[in-house]
Order: sequence, then C-alpha cells, then structure tokens
Amino acid sequence: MAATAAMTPTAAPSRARVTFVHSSDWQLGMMRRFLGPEAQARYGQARIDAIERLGAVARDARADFVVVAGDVFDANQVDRQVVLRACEALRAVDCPVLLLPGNHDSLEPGTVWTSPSLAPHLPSQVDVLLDSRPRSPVPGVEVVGVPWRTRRLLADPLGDVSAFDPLPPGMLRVLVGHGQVDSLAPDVGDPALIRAAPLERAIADGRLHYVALGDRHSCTSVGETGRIWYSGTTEPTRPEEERPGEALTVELSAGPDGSSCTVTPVRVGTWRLLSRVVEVDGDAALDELSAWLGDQPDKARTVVRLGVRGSLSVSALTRLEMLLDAHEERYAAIQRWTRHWDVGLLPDDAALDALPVSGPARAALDELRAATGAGDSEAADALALLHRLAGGAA
Amino acid sequence: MRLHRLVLRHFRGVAEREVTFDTNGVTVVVGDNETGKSSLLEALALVFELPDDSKAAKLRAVQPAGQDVPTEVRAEVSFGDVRLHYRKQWFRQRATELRLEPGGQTWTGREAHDEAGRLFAEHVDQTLWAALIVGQEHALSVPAAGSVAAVLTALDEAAGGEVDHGASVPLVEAVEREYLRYFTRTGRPTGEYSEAQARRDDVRAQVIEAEDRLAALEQDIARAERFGRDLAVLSARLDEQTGKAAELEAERNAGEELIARVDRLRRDADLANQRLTAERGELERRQLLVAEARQRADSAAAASEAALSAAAALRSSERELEACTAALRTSREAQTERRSAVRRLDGQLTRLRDQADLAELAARLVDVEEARVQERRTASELTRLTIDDAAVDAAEAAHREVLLARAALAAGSPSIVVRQLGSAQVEVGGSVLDEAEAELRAERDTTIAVPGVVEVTVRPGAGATELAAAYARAEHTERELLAEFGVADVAEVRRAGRARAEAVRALDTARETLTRRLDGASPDELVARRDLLADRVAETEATADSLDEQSPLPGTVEETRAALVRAQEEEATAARLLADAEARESQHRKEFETASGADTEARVRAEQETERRDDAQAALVAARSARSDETLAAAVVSAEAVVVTVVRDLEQVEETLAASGIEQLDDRISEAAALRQQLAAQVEELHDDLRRVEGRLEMAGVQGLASAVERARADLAQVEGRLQTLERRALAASRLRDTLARHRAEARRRYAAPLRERIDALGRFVYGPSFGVVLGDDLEVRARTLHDHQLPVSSLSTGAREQLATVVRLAIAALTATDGSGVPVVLDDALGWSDPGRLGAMGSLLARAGASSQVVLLTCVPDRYAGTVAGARIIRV
Repeated sequence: MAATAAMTPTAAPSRARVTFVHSSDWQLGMMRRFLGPEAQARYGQARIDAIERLGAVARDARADFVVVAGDVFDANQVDRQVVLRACEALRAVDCPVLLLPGNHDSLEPGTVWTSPSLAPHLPSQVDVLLDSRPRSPVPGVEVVGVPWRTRRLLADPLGDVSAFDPLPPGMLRVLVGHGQVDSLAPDVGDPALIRAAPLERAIADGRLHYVALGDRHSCTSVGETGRIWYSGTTEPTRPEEERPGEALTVELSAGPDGSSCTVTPVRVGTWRLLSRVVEVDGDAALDELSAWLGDQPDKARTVVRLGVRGSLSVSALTRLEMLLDAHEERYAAIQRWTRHWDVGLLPDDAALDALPVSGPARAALDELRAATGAGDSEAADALALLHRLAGGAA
Repeated sequence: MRLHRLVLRHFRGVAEREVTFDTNGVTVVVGDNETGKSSLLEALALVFELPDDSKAAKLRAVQPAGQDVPTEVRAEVSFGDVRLHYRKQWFRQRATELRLEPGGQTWTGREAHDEAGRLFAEHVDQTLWAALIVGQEHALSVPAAGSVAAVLTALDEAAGGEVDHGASVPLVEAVEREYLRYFTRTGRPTGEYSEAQARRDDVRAQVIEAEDRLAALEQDIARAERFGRDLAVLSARLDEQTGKAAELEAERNAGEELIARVDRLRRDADLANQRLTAERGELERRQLLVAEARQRADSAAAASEAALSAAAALRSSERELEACTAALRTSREAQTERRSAVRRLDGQLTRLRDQADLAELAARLVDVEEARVQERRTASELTRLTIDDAAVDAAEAAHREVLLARAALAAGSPSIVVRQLGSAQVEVGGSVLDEAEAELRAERDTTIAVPGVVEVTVRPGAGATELAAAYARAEHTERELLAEFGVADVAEVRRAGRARAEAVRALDTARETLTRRLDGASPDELVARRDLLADRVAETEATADSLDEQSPLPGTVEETRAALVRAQEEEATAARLLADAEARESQHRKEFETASGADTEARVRAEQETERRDDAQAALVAARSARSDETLAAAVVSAEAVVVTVVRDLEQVEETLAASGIEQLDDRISEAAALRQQLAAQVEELHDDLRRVEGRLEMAGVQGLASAVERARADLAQVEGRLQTLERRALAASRLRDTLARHRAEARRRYAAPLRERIDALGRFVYGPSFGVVLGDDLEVRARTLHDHQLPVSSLSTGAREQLATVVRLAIAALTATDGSGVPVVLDDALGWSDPGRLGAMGSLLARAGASSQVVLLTCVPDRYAGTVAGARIIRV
C-alpha cells in the first residue's frame, strides 16, 4: 500500500529528495504472559531479528536513513542481554539510524540510553536523539527528534517544537515524535496528547514535510495530510492491534514544482497474534475448528486467543481437549480466552449410556450427570474423567 | 477357564512332567516335596506372562541350575468353547506356538504370545485368578470378595441389579490411581498438583520481590528527577551569587593599598610604643635600685641600734631578777619562824586546858561518890519501911467496913430511951444509969433494970442480930490486918505509910543527884577519862619543861590564847609577804627571758640588714657602671618623641581609610562569600545525592529489573494456568472418587447378604448350624461366629483360618461358576493344619465344589484328600 500526498509548489529553486524508513515501538525486552518460556525466548528474539529485517528493507529501498520513533526498549531496566543484542543487530543496518527515546525508554535518570551497557556498544552510524538539535543524516534534510525526558509528560511532547522556522529552499524537514495524537486518543483530557493541528499547519506551510510518530502499535496515517504517520510496532504485542508488524518507506521530495510524499508500508513482522471465538455444538463445529487451526501457516510464530462457547458430549469435549492439547504444542500459544470460554457437557449424552459401567459405578455416573445438568462444572469434569477411565471412546 | 493338561520340561528341578486334569470334579496331585507340584502353578502363570525372549529374573529362576537347556511349558486350557494348545520354550531354541480349536488357527512367536495373552485377559478375571489359584504362601489369607470383580458381578446378578461384568473394580482402581496422582490417601495435595501449588507460591513470591525491587528503583528515579530539578535551580542561584561576590572583590582591591599602609603604620606605632615601654622600664628599674640601696642602709643602722638597746635592757632585767630572788629567800625564813611560834603556843594552850579538865573531873568524881553514898543509905532505909500505899489502902478499907457494919447495926437495933424519973438507980445493962435521960440502942438483949424494982429486957429482932455478927466479922478482919502490919490501929498504919512515902521520895532525890553528877557517863568512864588526862598532863608537862628554856610561856589559858592569836596574825602577815615576793620574782624572771630573746633577735636582724645593704650597694654600682642615670633619662625622652610622631601619622591614614568606606565593603563581601559558600555546599550536597542515586540507578540498570518483573509475571501466568488445569483435574478426580466410593459402599451393603448366606451355608457344612460370618465394607470376612461366640479373623487359629479361607474361596468359586468366566480352584498344600474331623468335612465341601467347578488340590500328604474327597482323581508325581 502506498499513500502519496502532493503539495503546492514552494519557492525552492532546486529539488530536494530523500528516502528513509520509519519504524517505532520495537519494545525490545517485552515479554508476554500467554507465552511459555520457549516461545517467550523466540518471541524476544523475533523482535531483535526485526531490526535486521528492517535493515534489509532500508537496503532494498535504498533508504538514506532510518528513524525509530520511540520505545526502542520496553523499559529502561531491560536485561543487559537485550541491550547488547539490539546493538549487535543494529550493526546490520548500514545506513544512519536515528533512535528516539519514548515513554518506555525515556531519558529519566537511570535511562538505558546513557547506561554503560548501551552507550559504548552502539554502532557508529546510530544516533540517539537525546535532544531536539536538528540532525542531518544526509545533506538537504533536517531531522528533529523530540525525546521523552521522563516517562510521564504533562504537556504536548511536540508543543515546544511545532513552531518551526521557515526552511531554506531545497531543505526537507522530518519531525520524529512519540505519543498519542489528540485526534486518535480515547481520552482527550490527557495533557500529554500531541496536537495535530499545529503540525498540519506547519506541513501546509512547507515548514515541515513529514512527522514520524511512535507509540501506537498499529500502522496508522493521521489526519488528511498523508504526512503524519504511526509506523506501528515491528512485531505484534497484542491481538487487538491492527496492522502491526509493518515499517514505512517514506520518499520525500520538494522542489519548485511542488513537494511530494510517498509512504509505503512494508511487512517486517513474523509473528501473528490472533483472536477467535467459535460456537460449538457438535463434531461438525469441532471439525471446522480443527481445520482452521490446522490451516494456519507458521504456527510456531502464531498465538491464538481462543474462545469456545457451547455444549458438547463427553467424547466431543474430550476431542476438543485433545485437539487443543495437540495444537498447543504446534502453536506458540493457544490462549484460552476466559471471557469467551464457556463450554459445557451435554448431560444427555448417549455415550455415557453406552459406558460399560453398572451397579454402583452406574449410580455414581447418574448422580454426576444430574449435577452436570444443573451446571456443576466440577461434576462435568468428574463425568469426563469417569468416561475416560471407564474406557469410553475417545 | 478350564485346565486340561500341563507339560513341564527342564523347569526348576523338574526334568519332565506331564499332568492331565479332570475338566470337572476334583484332581488331587500327590507328590513329595520338591517334586514340582508348585511349579505347575508357576509354569501356568509364566507361560501367559512372559514372552520367549524374556530376561526377567523370575524366569531365570526357573532355569535348572548349571544346565544350558531350554525350559519348556505346554498348556492346554479352554476358555469357554475355545481350547488353546499353547507351547513356549525359553532360553534355547526359543519358541512360542498357539493353536486354537475348533478352527485350528495357529500363531507363532510374538503373535502367539500376544494372542494367548489377549485371550487370557479377555476370559480370565485377574482378581478371581488371584483369589482362587492359591500358592502355599497365601493359603491362610482369607480373600476379600469385594475386590473380586467376578464376585461383584455375580452378587449383582444375585441382588437383581444390572450386570456389572466386574468392570467397576478396575474402574475403582483406575479412579483411585487418578486420585492418588493429585492427593495423598489423607487428602493432601501431592505430586504434580502440590508441586504446582508450591511453584505458584514461589513464583508469586518472586513476582512480589521483583516488583518491590522495581518499585524501589522507580522511587530512585523520581528522587533523581527531583534532585536534578533542585540542582538546576540552585546552580543558577550559585552562579548569580558568584558574580556578585566577584564585583565586590574588585571594589575591595582598590582599598587594599590604603589598608596596607595602615597596617604598616600600625606596626611602626607598635614598635615605637614597645621601645618607649622598654626605656621607661629601664629607668624605673634604676630608680628602684637607688631607692632600695638607700632603704637598706637605713634599715641596717636601725637594726644595729635596736640590738644595742636590747642588750642594755637584758642587763637591767638580770639585776632586778637577782634582787627579787634575795627578797624571796628572806620572806620565806621569816614565815618559817612565825609558824613555829604559833605551834608552840598552840601546844601550851592544849596543856593548860588538859590540866583544868583534870581538876574539874576530880571534883566531879568526889560529888559522884557522895551522891552514891546518899543513895545507898536511902535505899537501905526504904527496905525497912514495909507498909506501903497498898497496905494502907487495905487497912483503910477494913476500917471502913467496921464503921459501916457498926452504923448498920445501930440503925437496925431498937432505940431505947431511958429517963430516970426518981432516984432509983436504974441500971441499964448492968451498968447504973447516970444521966437523966439516955437513949440507947438495943443491939443485943439489953436489960434495963431498976434494981429491985424492975428489970426490963429489950431483945432486938433477928436482923439486928445478923448485923451484929457482920460487925463482929469486920472488926475481926481489921484486927487481923493490923496484927499482920504489926501496928495497933489504923492511925498507926497511916503514919507508917506516910513514912515510907517520905523514904521513897528521898531515894528518888538521891538518884537524881547521882545521875546529874554523872552527866551521862558511868563512874568507870569518868575514872578512865581522868586517868587518861592525868597521863597526858604529865607527858606535856615534861615536854613543856624542855621548851621553857627558849622563852617563857604564859601560864594561863587566857594569856596563852591571846599570845596564840597574836602569833597567828604575825604568821599570816609573813605568808602574805612571801606570796608577794614570789610573784615579783616570777614576773622578773619572765621579763628577763623576753629581754634575752629580743636581744638575740635584734642581733641576728642587724647582721642580715647589714648584708643586704652591702648587696644593694654593689648592684647599684654595677648598674651605673653599665649605663649612667643620665643616659637612661635621655633615652626615655627620645623614645617618647618617636611615639608621638608615628601615632600622628597613623591617625591621619586611618581617617583617610575610614572615609573610603572599605569596612562596609568587607561586611558585604563576607556576607556574599558566606551565601555563595552556603549555596555551593547545597549544590555540592545535592550533586552528591544525585550522583549517589544515579550510581544506584546505573547499577540497577545492568540488572534488568523491569525484565525481571516481566519475566516473573509471565512465569506466574504460566504456572497459574498449569495449576488451574491440574486443580480442575484434581478436583474432578476427587469428586469422582468420592461419588464412586459412596455408591460402592451403598452397593456393598446390598451385596453383603447373599455372599454371607453362601459362606454361612458352606461353613455350616463344616462347623454345624451355629456357624456364621460378619462381612466388612470390602465384603471381607471380619469375624467368625461359632456357638454364639464371635472372633475376629485375626484371632482365629491357623487351622480355622485356613478352613475359613477355603470356605470363602469355594463360596466365590460357586458364585462365579455359573457362567464361563470361572477359573479352577487350585489349592497348594492346603488344610495341613486341620484335624481329621474338620478335614473330612472340608473334603466333602471340596467334593461338592467339584460338581460345579474344576478343583485342583496339590499335596504332599497322599491320604489328606484320598479318603475325604469323594470321587477325586489322584495323580501321583
């Protein structure tokens, strides 16, 4: 997908052109509760590996530089191992990389950015935007980053810099910021929202050509200018995210005949976090679920948050359990979505009648069935267990 | 299952043995010990259990020791209508063969083993097998029918319930196994479940710990941010203050030079003053030296003079003392003389007094003697005069009686008046009446007669007579008394009495006189006193005589007394004079001593003063030879002039400085410096604090605390998920177990009756009608009742227990024989403890059991069953 915004010509006598990659919210060091230790490790590694893939994207696009709009690290106090591996991965990016401290890795005291674990190990082409001094990774472009100095801001993080001076002709200006934009924020009372209007004005005036934002994990274009973007995270972190796992290739140009901006999302993520709720009433529904689970590609890097509703026979229930049991091994994780998990036992199941039990065992079975019918989930479990131990068909 | 034939080859000690069993009825296998009876049971179990290539220890145990030979077992058994020909050879030429009849299907090798095992499992109830096929070692244990699935099935049928096919026993066991995966028998979580709980607790603690550490870190971050803000504010103020201080400093540098001049002049003034002080001191010391020399000279002269006058005073004092000493001596002698005169006169006075006393005492002794003579005379006169006052009184009394008696008589007698009328004589009482008229008393017969004319007799009455007699008696008494006194009448008595009283008075007077003269002393004492005095007088006179030569002594007491008084006065005067002289002498002695001390002191002092005067004069001479008095005075004057000059200069410069206002500047500078310093200290402190916190943060940064929290939380989520699953499973198992147990207990209660009836029926065959058993929850025999006497199984004798076990087995066999699932009853060397009577009864029971079941009895005692089990086939091995 590509978005192009054309602008009216400016007074610039010559034409400036630049291509760069916009990424954000790497959240290195993040862990997910629904992942087991093994998947956790792979997930963490995938976030590191995404840096190298980003480097490949930059190379393919012949990008001049890469900007990362905040939250490179999930916290200032991440494991040293994460920091060192990130530094190592950054080596693979052969153009300049500008990293912005966000709210998760703000420049508060004890920040990771100045720590001895990080600073000496950063590759030379990497520049951390510790202040808002304009940078020129390549001639003709001015990159201004606004780092978070503390993890909780009480004002618009871009408020101080949105009044830009006019640019000399032939210069392009890119603003790198982090935070929620007011037009997308659910809570407009938050004082730390980024006001979009001044940015849009600056863009309209030709004082600003692109705003690279971070914080939102979904790849999103803000407003109508086509020049304010959230790139989204490189690897998904929650099933709710829309279009995570992408990076943006941005081509800017400005000249006497006008200015253009082309933004192309590129996939860099390898993981998928899916949500699915299924209604089950019998083997057909289970067949469908089994097929869906079976059809998903790349299961080892897929997490399914699964909700199941309905009532099943003992054997179907057992089948469901076995199905999930088997897939839990294949998938990175199958998370039972407690809010949408409501699967019961059909008490009038003929399979229970057919169980080879009699006498007292039969009487016990009947009692548990009655309790199951009354909604006793423990009795349902006990009944399923009885079914299994009595040699009922799986 | 029916057992038809068993063939053993090279099995334990058995080289080869073949036994054929009756399909129905009783087969007794008789053989001595070690002939391989028990091996039959073992072989039957092994042939189904272990494949031909098994290396099991219990298999190796059956290989004949030290022989490398194959062990072979052939078994012919039937399961319902199917008959199996099953052969297995171990160790060498391993082989397994199975053939079924009818149909003739065959298997070999592992397939044969598996198929045989499958058939065995399908048709033979393992619990029943264990209960009925009994080795020697289990002969005594009474089986619990509740664990035998087949029995339960049978009983269920008997109780009219649904057919269980014995499935509930494996189910119960399976449920129990499932339950024990999660819980101990006492219901505590165990295994995976409790591990998961423990793990959850551990991880939760880890989460809390990690969160705490992160929270502490975040506090540090907040602190560092605050410090950073404060530091910025303070640093700005510090810079401001530093600038201010620098300005003031520049101002002050201008005033510095002036201050330096003031300082120099102050130092000069100090020096000039010091010099002046020094010169003045020198001059003062010289003046002191001169004055001292003069004063010393005066003192020395005065001291010499004092020494001279003290010597003179000492000499005059000495003279006075000597005069006083002489006067004292004279006074002492005079007083001694006076005292001896007094003593002499005193002696004289005593002697004279003694002489006078002696004379007086001699005169008194004469008077005493005289009084004593008078007394003695009077006393002797008194002894002669015996009529005393008492005697007089007695005589007076007697005379008064007479008078009284006479008067009474006169009164009592007739009064007769005789008047002579003529001259005829008239006689009255014989006596002529001479009077013209007479009155008389006729006290007695009185005759008045005129002679020859008439006679008249007047006779008194009887009273007059008595009175007359009394009068006579009184007169008589008076007469006698007078006679006694030697006197004639009363008057004489009275005289004698008066004479005696006179004599007594005279004696009293004489005694009084004597007493007065003795004056309290006895005559002997007076004599002794006189003798004493006489001796003393004689003595003193002798002494006095010897003294008289010196000076005449006065002869009288009065003279002597007067002389003594005079002499005593003189003596007192002399004593007073003596005391005066002593006082004077002592005073002068003291004065002399004082004068002597003063003299010594004055002399020493004079010497000292002289020495000091010489020293002072020598010092003065030395000083003057160094600097003369005039030089000194001139030096002081010049120093004073210098001081005056310097002070004037200083005052001028100081005035200039004060006018410049540098003093206030100093205050402001020091104030500014203090403020700056204070700020600097605060900045420093804050900086240190910040650095410290930052240091901590840096260290913490390496530790990855946030990652630790994330990791711990992720762990916790995993562990909790796992625990939840396990908990669900555990609770399900627990629920199922409880439910099942409850229903089984109920069912067993229902089953107990038919089983008990069956056991009782068989038992009564052996023990008689009083036999009965009590069953427990697992349908096990708890107790045996016989003749109303109940004993727990454990208390039964060995024989009784074995019999009971056999009875229960036979009951189980009978219950399960009704369908094809039964198994043979095999007893190995059973009933060895039974007495012949019981053995007989047991034999009958076994024979009856043989009617419905296959019974195999193994024994080493040939006649144990031979005579007791009717219709038994005996096989000897």
